[in-house]
Amino acid sequence: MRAAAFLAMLLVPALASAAPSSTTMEQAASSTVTSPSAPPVPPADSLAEPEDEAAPARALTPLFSFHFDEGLSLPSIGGVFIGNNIGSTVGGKYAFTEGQALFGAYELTYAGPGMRSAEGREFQERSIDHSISGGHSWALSPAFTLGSRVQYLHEFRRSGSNEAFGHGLYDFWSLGLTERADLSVVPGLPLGVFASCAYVRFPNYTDLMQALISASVSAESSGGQQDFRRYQLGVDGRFDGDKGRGWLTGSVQDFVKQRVITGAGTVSDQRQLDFVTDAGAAWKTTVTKGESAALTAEPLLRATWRVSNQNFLRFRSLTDTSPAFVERNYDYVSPSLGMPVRWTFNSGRSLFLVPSYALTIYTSRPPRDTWNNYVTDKKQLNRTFMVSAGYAARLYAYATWSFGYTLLIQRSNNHFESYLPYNYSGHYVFAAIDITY
Amino acid sequence: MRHLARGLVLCLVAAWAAGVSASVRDEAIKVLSDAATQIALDPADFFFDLHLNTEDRTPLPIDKDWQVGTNILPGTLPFAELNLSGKGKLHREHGGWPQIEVGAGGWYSVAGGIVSSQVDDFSGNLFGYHGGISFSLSADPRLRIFGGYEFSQMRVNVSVDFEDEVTNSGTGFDIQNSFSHLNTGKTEHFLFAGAEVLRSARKRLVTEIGYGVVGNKLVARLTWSSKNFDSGFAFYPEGAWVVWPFWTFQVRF
Repeated sequence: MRAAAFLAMLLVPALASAAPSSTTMEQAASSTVTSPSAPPVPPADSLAEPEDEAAPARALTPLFSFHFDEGLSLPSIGGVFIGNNIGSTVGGKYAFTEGQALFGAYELTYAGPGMRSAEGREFQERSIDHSISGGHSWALSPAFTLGSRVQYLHEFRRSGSNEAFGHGLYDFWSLGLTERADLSVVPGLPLGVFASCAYVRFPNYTDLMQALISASVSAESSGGQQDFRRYQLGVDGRFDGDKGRGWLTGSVQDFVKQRVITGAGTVSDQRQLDFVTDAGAAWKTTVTKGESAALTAEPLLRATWRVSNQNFLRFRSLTDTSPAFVERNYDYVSPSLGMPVRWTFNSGRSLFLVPSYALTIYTSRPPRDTWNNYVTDKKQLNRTFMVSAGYAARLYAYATWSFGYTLLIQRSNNHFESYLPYNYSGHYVFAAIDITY
Repeated sequence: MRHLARGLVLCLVAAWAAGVSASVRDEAIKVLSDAATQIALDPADFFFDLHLNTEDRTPLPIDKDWQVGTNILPGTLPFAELNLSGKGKLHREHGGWPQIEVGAGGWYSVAGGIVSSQVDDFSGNLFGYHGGISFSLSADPRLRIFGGYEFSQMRVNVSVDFEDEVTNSGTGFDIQNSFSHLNTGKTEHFLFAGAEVLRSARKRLVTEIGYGVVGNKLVARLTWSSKNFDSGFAFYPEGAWVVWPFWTFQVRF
């Protein structure tokens, strides 16, 4: 549990912040929906060895995690394929005074081919992430802790077209700073407030559409269109003795060069601005507990709301002289619901069932028919249902293995699927091993 | 009754297997075909995976100072890669300082040498070597975390002379006249990190992940280590063949 919390503190907010945004490509939901390739693993607190309470407190606390999973995907479109995911984190925390500590971590993550529930992602897409973070925490009083973190993230992405790593159109790096204050003013209700800023750069990105609109535009000026500055404010908290958690974050993505496309097919002077609001809550509860096993559930409710001033021009071909114009193409609301259930035995073995359902409701974008025509009297709606079931057991101290099955059903009223799948179902069987300290 | 139920289940499994065997066979052919295509497009990467199979980055046990070993499978068998590697401890973990050790090894393809000596128009020279330094730190009496750096070099030099025997038809792809030399190799600088979990006094589970900074090469290994024989799996996520089981012999003293 300690390692999981430490990892979450170090990595999760910054990873979410650095995810690429949707601009000229229709991939608005790519940063919010997880892949079924990442199998659910048992919570560390249920399987890890109990800590030796008699052990003396150490100034240096190492951190390590390793994950590997391999699985077979059987989508309803395309052929069967094998994919795997690998990740490892190495780091540590050094407490140099009673209330102050320095921490740092490096994480390497490989995401292999897999069925994507995120719109705009190919099954064969792969990525390598390098994440380096470091920071300082200072407990000024038992009820008030200040924290600072600097994070650098570099992602190499390899699309289905099989370019070499390092040459992906959506490769990016980000450098960010997060300041955080943890407050325990109300007993039993710890709150955290944080603010962060980051610069995200896509060094290989070139806006082909801008080059198409204006043949005289140089490669240099059409590059960097995806780069943005990101500012985020958020609050999170825990309740019911750490069983419940909730969060609310708001972020602005201020694009450095990307301008808003107009209905006349020109580029306006207005820079693209995206606003993303994310809110959610989860509560872990014990449904029933017997002498040898316990059944726990953790319902999760989450909503993401994205507003962008960017529009979209749909060209049928390079010679299309009358492209279709879609105003506020990237605005959407995405509510989701999850209900992970786990039956944990005293031996450390557990059975899990993780159903989830998510909607992506585009507020302005109409869906397209099979022939790439907009159905203007409707709005695009994507629905994703995913359920995973499996078995997890402790292999050795700190090591667990699991295997399971995932069913993914993706439906959309958008039926133009020449390049990316919108309507499909898929089966995924996987085995995984985890080591966490 | 139990035998009847078991028989029924076996019959159902057999019927299901028969039903899906055709599609499974087709998919297996596709997987092999894709692997062959990838090897043809980037032979160096495939040979490099074979080369990496011979490398052992597991840390020396706390009570051992030296190790000499060889990869039996898939090195010596079936690829005739004679290989030897060793490592030695420079510093025993104590006083807050980690265990420090250095290691090196190499391999040479006997098959290439034998064929070269027997066939006049063929010469093949396949070899590789590696060396590195590793640091290990105990996080718990049953868990050590380690990491380090490794230099890795592989060379494949194959030469085939068809000139006197075959005349190019001039149509299509004629491999005999198109292919005469294959000189390829890879040099990588790996950064790696992993963990060692003690299963018993002499048995360990070692996981590691390595990243080659030159070509974005990824490798992961799971090693079940015992007194003299280690086994496990090596994973090359972007390789032509992703999962390689391995079996090695080690002497530690």
